[in-house]
Amino acid sequence: MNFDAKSLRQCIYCHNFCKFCCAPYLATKNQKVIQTQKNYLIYLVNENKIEPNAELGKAVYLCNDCKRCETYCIFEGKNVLPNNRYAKNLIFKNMLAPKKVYDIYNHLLNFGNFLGKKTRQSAVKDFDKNKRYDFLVYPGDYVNLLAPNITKSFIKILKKLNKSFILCDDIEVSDGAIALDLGMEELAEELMERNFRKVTQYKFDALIVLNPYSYYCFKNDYGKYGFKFDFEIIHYIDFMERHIDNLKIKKTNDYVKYFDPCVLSRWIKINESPRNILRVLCNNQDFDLIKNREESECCGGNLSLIFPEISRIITEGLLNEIKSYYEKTEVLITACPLCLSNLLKAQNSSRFKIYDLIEYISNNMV
Amino acid sequence: MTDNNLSKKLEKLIGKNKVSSDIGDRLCFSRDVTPLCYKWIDLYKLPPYICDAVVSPENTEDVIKIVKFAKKNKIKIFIYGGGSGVVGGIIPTERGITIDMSRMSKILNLDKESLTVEVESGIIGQNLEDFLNKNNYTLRHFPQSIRSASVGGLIATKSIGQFSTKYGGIENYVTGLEVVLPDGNILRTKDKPRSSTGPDINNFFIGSEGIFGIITKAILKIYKIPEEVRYHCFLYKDIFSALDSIREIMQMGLKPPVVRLYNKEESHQKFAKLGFGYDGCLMILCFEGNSELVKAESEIAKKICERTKAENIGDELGKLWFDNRFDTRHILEKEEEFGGISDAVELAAPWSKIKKLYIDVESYFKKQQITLASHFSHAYQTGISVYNIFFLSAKDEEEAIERFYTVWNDVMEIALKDDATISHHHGIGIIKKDKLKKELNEGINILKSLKEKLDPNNIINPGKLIEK
Repeated sequence: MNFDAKSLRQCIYCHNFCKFCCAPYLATKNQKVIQTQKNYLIYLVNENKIEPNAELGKAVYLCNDCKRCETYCIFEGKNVLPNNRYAKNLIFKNMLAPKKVYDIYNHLLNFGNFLGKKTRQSAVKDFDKNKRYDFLVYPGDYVNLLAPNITKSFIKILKKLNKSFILCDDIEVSDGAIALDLGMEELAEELMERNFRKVTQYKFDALIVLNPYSYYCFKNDYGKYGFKFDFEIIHYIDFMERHIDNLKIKKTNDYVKYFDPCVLSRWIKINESPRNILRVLCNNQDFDLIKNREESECCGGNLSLIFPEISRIITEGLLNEIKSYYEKTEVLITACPLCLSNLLKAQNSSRFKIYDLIEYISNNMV
Repeated sequence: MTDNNLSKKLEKLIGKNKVSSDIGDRLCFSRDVTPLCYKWIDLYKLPPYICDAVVSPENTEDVIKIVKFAKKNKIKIFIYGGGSGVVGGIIPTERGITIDMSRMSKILNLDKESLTVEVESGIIGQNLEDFLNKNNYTLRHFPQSIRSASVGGLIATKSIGQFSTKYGGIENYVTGLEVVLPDGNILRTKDKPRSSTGPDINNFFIGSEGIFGIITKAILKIYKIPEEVRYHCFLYKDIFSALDSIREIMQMGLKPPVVRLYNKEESHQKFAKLGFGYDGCLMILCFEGNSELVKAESEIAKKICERTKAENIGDELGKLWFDNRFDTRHILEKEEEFGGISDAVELAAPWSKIKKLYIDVESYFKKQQITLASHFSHAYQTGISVYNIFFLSAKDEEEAIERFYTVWNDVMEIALKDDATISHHHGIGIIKKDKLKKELNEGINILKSLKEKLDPNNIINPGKLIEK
């Protein structure tokens, strides 16, 4: 795993323009989390000026790749992911990552999923090997393990639309996205290869991905490791935007706010489609939080797997803000299984309901 | 006291989770964004001094305990707000501990009737502004460092914001302070609109660069979100006609929050990528507040500018300036170059002396064959500030540092000769302190006497602002 030397130098020489927006920094006040400082320390490690240690390891893993720093970065086209992954890989190989990271590694290695679930959730079944299907539905790790209702809702919609599909929701082979994001490059490559073989054995026209992290990984990472798909890969939101008019919807009067997940708004830049879908569903159409789209705040992200107590501080802060500033809110919608899981876990009152967008569409179908 | 002993004692004093002797923390808290720090990274990788420990107080009581401990054990204290300073105000100049104020970042009270907000000093400016915006208020103090600077750091530096021409510098915002003095006693100044009770004690700490005490809380003025914001951009053939227009606008009593006038070089350098294709000096004015007042002020200002043969080029570049006002890539990219260094010399002078100052500084850089981009901003009834950004290239980092000091020395001498101030808003730190005596004359002895009285052992932020 190589680091991007230009990007590293930009960060080291920057004036900390992203400090104010870094949720893990604001929650912990750990100065080493900020890109400027983290990259400086990684540079010193590479220059053999300091030894990496567990404190640096903690800081490196406190960054949950929400990429909010990129929104406020003065350098155009900034992508912090390569250096984040490089730093995590360096720490991981030196056995300096938090213990939970190694637990996740062992679970992925031994069971193919990050929670180490042993039972088969559901295998791909009832499909005709000779038939070509419209879609392969790929829920992805976070949906399978943290928010399976997303899959149920999507299947309900596909059936309404009379589409033929194969559901690939087994939990024995991770797609590698989590491993890659946590710096486990070798394992990620192995998982990607196994997953590639699994997915490409079926005949279908397009792959619909429900987990945005898996979607990003399929679109951006698989190719880099030599796994090239020859079919269309679609995130479910794009699919729904194309088909929402073909569903019978009962418009709702709910006061709905939309929380932009980082991976949609900043990683894969899907910002307007969820709003376009919500416009079809809702009579009240003021969906935006003050910080929306690329500026959207952090839900805690994958910190909930490694530092759950810090993740909870971040998520509770977000929910409290929504409660204070948007009094009328009855429904909070997001479109990411990790956001949904974090928000539901931190919700300490029933002031408003929280759904994934696909659940909300499904609930409002006639 | 060994580093290990020191950390253990501090842990016992305020709690284990508030003390760090980790090398990563110590390094992070020993550098700021002073250009010299970048050159040190390339030359030596590490800063010249690395603090022995980092302590992160969570309340004023913690700060008092740390200060009393340091005083008793004669341990130097450096204070780290947001680390956004450009003159080395937080850099350790000898062995000691660094106090990280970031955990003291609570918003304590929003007084909607008086329009003030009380905060702990470690809060980042932008986080405060975001909180105020969500409540339909605004600080309107927008320094370029707002996204990383702490409120305490802004006060200790005596910062200015990009909207200062209407709202003033940070000194115009502070209505009350809490400060832990070098002997561990606590000073709380009364929150008041004004008082005639001797010199304003707040002003001993605003711009003190931390040498008289540690600011722990502040009460600041706030504003309602302006009803209307309107930009106007004008093109001038020569910079001095534009300066005359600004003077007339200011002396007529108009209050544009933003007044920016770029010389030809900086107009091109900063705005060409935003669509500026003219040969001339760009002036940006902004008016905001009550719509009727904005309309009236705008019309008067436009008439003044048009009378001085300025070309009205609309509002677009003003809006683009606002959207891109943090874009300092052209400066940072110079720092990234091997042997390259850039910095901003921010001077200010009365109207009667500003033109000569501008000519002298420009001539100096021309003679030295150093690229210079200048703009005027932060206008007053009696004068204006000029921001001179220089970009120099040397054969290596050592020569860059040497030339950097030479430039600073020479330009400050020019400023002093021309009756200008050597720092409008970045402060003194370690970069400019040799010239402070010439700037303040007898005033330096007052500062020294105060320091001697308040901090006889020179415990707090030694090596900054004044030499003891």
